[in-house]
Amino acid sequence: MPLPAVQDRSGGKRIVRHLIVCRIFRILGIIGVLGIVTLGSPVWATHDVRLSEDVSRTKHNLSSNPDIMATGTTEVCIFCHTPHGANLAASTQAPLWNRLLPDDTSYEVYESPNFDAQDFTGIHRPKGVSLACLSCHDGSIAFDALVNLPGSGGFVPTNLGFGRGPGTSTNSINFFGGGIVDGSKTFTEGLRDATEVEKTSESPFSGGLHDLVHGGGGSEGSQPFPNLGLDLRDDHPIGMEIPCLTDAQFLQICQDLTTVKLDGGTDGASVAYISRTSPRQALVWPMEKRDRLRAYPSTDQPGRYYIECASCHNPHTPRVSFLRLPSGVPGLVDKNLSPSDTAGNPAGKMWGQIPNAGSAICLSCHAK
Amino acid sequence: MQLRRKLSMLVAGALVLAVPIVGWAAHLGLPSDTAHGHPEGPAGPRAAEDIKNTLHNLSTSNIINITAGAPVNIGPGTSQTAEVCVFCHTPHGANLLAPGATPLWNRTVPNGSTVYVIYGSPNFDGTNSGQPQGVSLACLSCHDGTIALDSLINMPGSGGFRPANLTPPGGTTNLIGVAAGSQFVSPGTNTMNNAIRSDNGPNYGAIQGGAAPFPNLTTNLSDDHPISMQIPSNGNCAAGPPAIGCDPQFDQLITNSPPADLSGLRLLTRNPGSINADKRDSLRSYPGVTRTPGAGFYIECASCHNPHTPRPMFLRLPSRYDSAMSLASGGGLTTEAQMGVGTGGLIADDPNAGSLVCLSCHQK
Repeated sequence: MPLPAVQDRSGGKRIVRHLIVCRIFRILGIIGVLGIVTLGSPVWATHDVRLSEDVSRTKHNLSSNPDIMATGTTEVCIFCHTPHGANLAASTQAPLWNRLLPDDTSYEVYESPNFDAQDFTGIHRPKGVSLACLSCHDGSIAFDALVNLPGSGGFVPTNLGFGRGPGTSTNSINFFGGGIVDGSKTFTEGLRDATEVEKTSESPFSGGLHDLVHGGGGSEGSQPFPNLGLDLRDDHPIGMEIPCLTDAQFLQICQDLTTVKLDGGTDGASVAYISRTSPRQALVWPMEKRDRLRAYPSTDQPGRYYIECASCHNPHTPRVSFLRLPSGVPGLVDKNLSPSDTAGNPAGKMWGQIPNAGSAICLSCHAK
Repeated sequence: MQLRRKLSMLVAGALVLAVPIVGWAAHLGLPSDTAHGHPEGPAGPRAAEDIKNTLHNLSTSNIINITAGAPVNIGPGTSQTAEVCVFCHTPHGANLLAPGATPLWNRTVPNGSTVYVIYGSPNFDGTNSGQPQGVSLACLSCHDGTIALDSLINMPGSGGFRPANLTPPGGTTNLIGVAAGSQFVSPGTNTMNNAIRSDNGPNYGAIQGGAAPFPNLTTNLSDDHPISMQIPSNGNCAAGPPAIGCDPQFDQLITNSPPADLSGLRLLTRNPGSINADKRDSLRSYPGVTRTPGAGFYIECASCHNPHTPRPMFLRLPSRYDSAMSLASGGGLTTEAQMGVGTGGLIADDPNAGSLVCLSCHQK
């Protein structure tokens, strides 16, 4: 039964006050920035707001997201990562993961008569980094089901490994946002009721903290996607091997997936980057690798590559819908958009503001 | 309510306006206002280093709880000496097995004797991420749980030179006596045990307070932040194309950290205006010791931790802490008040408020 978002009175006041303060901050912030730029400043003072990654200013900053409003800590990283004692259940594809991970057998997965994705397990279960995402976004595990709480002496071994249900919720963190955190401290089930203010505010920062940047009320709605649920049949498949051998539309991205695009690392299991254009050119291929669409290596089958949540999404980016940038598609690069976040263009728009313009993200993989 | 709101707006506005001015003053080398606990200002009630008042004081002199003044048993067992430094350092006859960054080390060093499971990830660009080296081996000489806490080379006083402990695996010298059921030390071997520590308190790194399970990291380091890894950036990785050992999130760190000092130590900051005046509080990188001597800058345990500090979790202070930097990119989240360490708190009491220690290196 979908539950409507409820805003209690104190929460309402908080939002209003927040809104006003943010507007003031916004105006004075602009003055401040101008002051810095004028008077001399650190190197990055003139950097565009849309850095590739700036998690403090995204909705993933649970301490600042007005819809979640974690209290008990000011730390940002802690809700996902820990420097010591991490959960290794999903291997290191969930880097230094500080949360209970969901049981991968919990899900109903995507199917279609047209679907050719291979999977050596035969079961298209979420894997690796996708399980990290789902540890919040399937709505089953509490936001504060952490392994290592902020500070010392707060190790919660019951949140190691895989599990179902909310996990061990920890009393040291509470959430005072309205609407999307339920009694078990998980995502509220059902659709999210974005307010009119949110719906009508035009902001290029849908992934970013709408309030802090634009002074709106509440962060922008993105129903129903914060809570994907355990039924993933209505979502693009994840944990799927790219069907290089069985579906011709992927021949282009498969051409040199395992040779040219390997990146870094000494562990022999590195992320690969996706582009349909070969040879790739700077104009159609983000130079900043954090902006690139990516395929994840199989931890079990060397040389096999998988599409996971983080193939398209970057949880640390303040860009729209937490999207990476398109890798460029012939014929799509002249849409008044620059593929580079730092390069301007006559229309004043950049890929960084509209990553999926022309469905370029979709078409970065699919030859459709 | 209306008045209160106006007042809060006024204060917020004044703060925001003050921030770039302070930042500008700092940029020009002018003395800055320390009202918001700028790292160059007073560092709170604790000295940067004060080993006696930390959990690293294993001696019998460690009987005073600095918070409550009550005697506490910190756990490593009953020590037979009142000396503090001797558990790690000696003025003569030190262990040279792990060269560099293990100053006058008085302990058995797990160099070559222990094979660690090291960190890996598809996203990891660190190069030379092999076995631990340098100062990290010094830390691991207690914290991997394989070597006795009292596996010393030069015992307190004279006539106690134990050359056998120059080489691993060493062994106990019975300098501490361990009661059965000790939470921290395994009776007989006097190594750290695997027990989960459950107590906690306000002064975590200081006497009192737990850090489960981290006193004993074990030899499996894959669930810990990588160490002995070269910082993977040449300062311009964002310009691509992606290359091994080149991660753009560390471009600012490499570009803006000051040059190495004469000893090869390089202090770390993403913001040239926010390096801590007391270098003991500064995050730092170490020169390559065993793999690429004299070249590269490596992250080790002591990059973030100061074993001598009474600060929480033995943490150094963040170097990213700079409001002007945050404002410049559109926000303004890093004054101490905004990080929640206000109401009398200082960044020295909560070094990782706002995850600032993490964000001092990671541009995330």
